[in-house]
Amino acid sequence: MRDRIAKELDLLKKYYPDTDAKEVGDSTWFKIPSFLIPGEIWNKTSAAVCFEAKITYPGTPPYSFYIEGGLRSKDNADTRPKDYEEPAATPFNGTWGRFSWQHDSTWNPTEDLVAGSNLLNFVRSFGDRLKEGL
Amino acid sequence: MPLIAISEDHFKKLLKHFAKKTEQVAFIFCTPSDRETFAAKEIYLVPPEGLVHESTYHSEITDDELARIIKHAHQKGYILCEAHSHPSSKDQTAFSPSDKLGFTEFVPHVWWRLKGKPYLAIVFGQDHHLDALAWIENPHKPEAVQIVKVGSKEIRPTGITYRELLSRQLINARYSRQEAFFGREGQNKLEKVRIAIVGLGGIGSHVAQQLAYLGVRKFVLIDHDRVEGSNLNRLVGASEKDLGEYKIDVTKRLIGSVQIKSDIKRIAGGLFTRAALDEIKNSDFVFGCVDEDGVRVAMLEACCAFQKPYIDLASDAPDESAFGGRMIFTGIGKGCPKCREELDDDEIDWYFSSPEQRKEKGHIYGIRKRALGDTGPSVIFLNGVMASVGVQEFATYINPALRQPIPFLVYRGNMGILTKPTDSPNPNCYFCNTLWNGKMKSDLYRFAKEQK
Repeated sequence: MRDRIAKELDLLKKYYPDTDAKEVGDSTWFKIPSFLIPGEIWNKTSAAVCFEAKITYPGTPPYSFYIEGGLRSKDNADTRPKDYEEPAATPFNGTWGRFSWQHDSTWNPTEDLVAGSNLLNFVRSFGDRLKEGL
Repeated sequence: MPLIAISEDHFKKLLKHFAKKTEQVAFIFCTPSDRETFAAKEIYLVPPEGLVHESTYHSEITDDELARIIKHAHQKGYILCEAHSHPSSKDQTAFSPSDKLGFTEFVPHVWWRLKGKPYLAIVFGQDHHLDALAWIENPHKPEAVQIVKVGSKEIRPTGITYRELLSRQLINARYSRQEAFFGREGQNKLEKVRIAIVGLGGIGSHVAQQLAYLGVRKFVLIDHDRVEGSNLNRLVGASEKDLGEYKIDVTKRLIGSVQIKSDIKRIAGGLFTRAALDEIKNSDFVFGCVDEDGVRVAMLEACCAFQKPYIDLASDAPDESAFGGRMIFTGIGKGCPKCREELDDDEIDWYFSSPEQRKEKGHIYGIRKRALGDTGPSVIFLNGVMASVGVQEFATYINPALRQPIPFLVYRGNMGILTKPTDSPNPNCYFCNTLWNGKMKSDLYRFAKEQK
């Protein structure tokens, strides 16, 4: 595992201790088995999420995130989120859906992992996306 | 056809004098038989006391000795022919750089002292190898002596010195019209700079051609693509005969036709190889002329990690109402393609995605142009404009006296204008700030396919 990726994994584990990482080809995939999501918006209060850091990381941020399949709005079980595709392929078992999601344009990684952009920032950014609702 | 005739007796004496292990000097006093034929009448072997300095590679005659020799020639109406030895030279016998430098001052001086008489010079190596020059019409412009006749035997000089002088004159003439742009110093820089061009398609082939004409000789050509029929409308130097050949080989031939003494390293494996990354590291300057942002971002990382100035060029013609291109100069402290938001993260993600992932993304965004094999319009004149813009900024980098290089230029072909965007780049950019300034190390060789 690349040094930077290993440090990123350590940082993620500080906040999400069950985070798992898997190297697939040029990429590293990260999975957080139980990610809290707003129950007042969605039909679940937690779900597994995963995302991919491609070979260009950290120069470019991850581009989308995946969530355990079956995510729908609380009020209408048939309504799918915007920019969401299901099923979507990940290297992890189970059914997954894919959110097209981009970190905001200020992506500035630094040697000091915490001082600059990192995967934890990315996780928090898609956490915000899930708080937005559909 | 200058010819110097020496008697066998004089020649033997000269050879005996030159048999020493240190450089020796002699003078041959000649009379002209006709305009270009000179016959030796007397010889003078300079004794050790006539030399200021004497070694294997250099000897220097005293001013008094020289004055006596010139006076003798003047009094007798002789033409002066200097001769000296290069004891270690054989079939490559030629005048040394210091000999040639000496001629530039000494020949006009003797020419003046002897009232416009020709001047001759011979350098002797081992085994009758020699080289010779004659200044007959002009004290600044020597001619090659074709034959040194010893009795009835003819010795042909190596001619090496004259060929070198011709080559230098050709270089001087060749760049005489652009010296105002670069100056002699700038022209020398162009001869020495090693330039990597990544992508030898429509833009890269133009860039290579222009650089070769400017006087650049050292190239690294990186591209794994081969020539296809659809490239023949814009790939400079290519014809139907090149179908299936590597683009780098077409460009190599193109450069070679302009610069005979070029030094070209070809990397047919493309950018994602250890060899390509090593060659970027060993280059002085990089031109990026590729289509895909995925390749661009890796190239940008390489240039920033190795601190190589980098000009990225792109042309685009989505339709007839909006065609143009852009040039971004990284490494001059004013941004890069990434922090100027000219690289599309979505496009980069797509480039490094698996076929399954591309299929999924296609469902959300529709099928992309790239997925269909890059069938967008591409025309030679746009590529030519952008290549010229890039080479122009490179010229300002080589000779900052022209003006400071411009970091970002956008060509709007449909409007017929070249604009200089004033948006500020991201000062904390990961590439052109963090990596370039060494604040963070890049594990760049992860891009090399051999690593996997």
